[in-house]
Amino acid sequence: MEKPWEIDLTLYDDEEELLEGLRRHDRLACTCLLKRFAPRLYRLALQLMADPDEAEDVLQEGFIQACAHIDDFQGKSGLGTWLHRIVLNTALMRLRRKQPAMVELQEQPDEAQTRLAEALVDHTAEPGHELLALELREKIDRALSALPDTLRAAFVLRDIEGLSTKEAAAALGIAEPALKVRLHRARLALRNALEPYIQNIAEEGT
Amino acid sequence: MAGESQQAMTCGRLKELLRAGAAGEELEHVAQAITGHIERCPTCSTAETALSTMLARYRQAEQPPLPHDLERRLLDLLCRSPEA
Repeated sequence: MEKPWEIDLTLYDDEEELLEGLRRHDRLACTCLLKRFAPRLYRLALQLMADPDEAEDVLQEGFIQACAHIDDFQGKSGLGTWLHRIVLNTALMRLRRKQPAMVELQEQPDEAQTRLAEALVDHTAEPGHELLALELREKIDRALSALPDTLRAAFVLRDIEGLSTKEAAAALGIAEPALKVRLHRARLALRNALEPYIQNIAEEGT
Repeated sequence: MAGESQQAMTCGRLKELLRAGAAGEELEHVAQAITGHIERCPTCSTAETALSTMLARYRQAEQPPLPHDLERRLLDLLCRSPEA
């Protein structure tokens, strides 16, 4: 029985060949597309949505859109960059649809939010030098997920995805100063939530 | 001690500036004040540098695998859709 999820990835090593396969609606090309890009894009969706089910929905919607518009892909950027933009826009559209009034309220400095984030971290832990062990990555993910949507989106776009301030502000449809303030709020919340690890790294540098 | 180190990384002035942003002060001015404060404040500059270092490691960390069965479900979906 065919198991397309276990195929040889090198079948479509060349991006042009992969695109040709996708345009022919080749099943193996779809498999290669997923194997090559889905993990990275799922991570992006999860960071933005902070919910595994919503992240999966974003990924599904993004890949369906991509396959539906594969003939429109002109190759001006890499396929990965194009997919990244589709998934990012899909996630941001979903965030915008989520009760904007509540989001704005939650963006105020919120002691409860800070306490929640701090509660995610065991302050008695003594993190060693293997700072990006699975445990810490999970703590960063959990601290991110405790942020309000607006702060998390600003932080993910600017500090994790590496967009410029101008690009991140444009993606979120806000002015640059507003983006900067959201970013500082997010960073302060994460400084508090991840304090033992931040302290440890600060001491490494002294 | 956790409590001592937490105090050492907390900056009351930064919190004040962020509150000013939330209270409706002009955001351009608030953003500039925060940036200037972080540059001058030893606590904030140390914490921001350490946060940046931690995030650089986070970005470079290996991607965790997709949730169980997600890849196959996505493939089934794409192959079922008339576009795929």
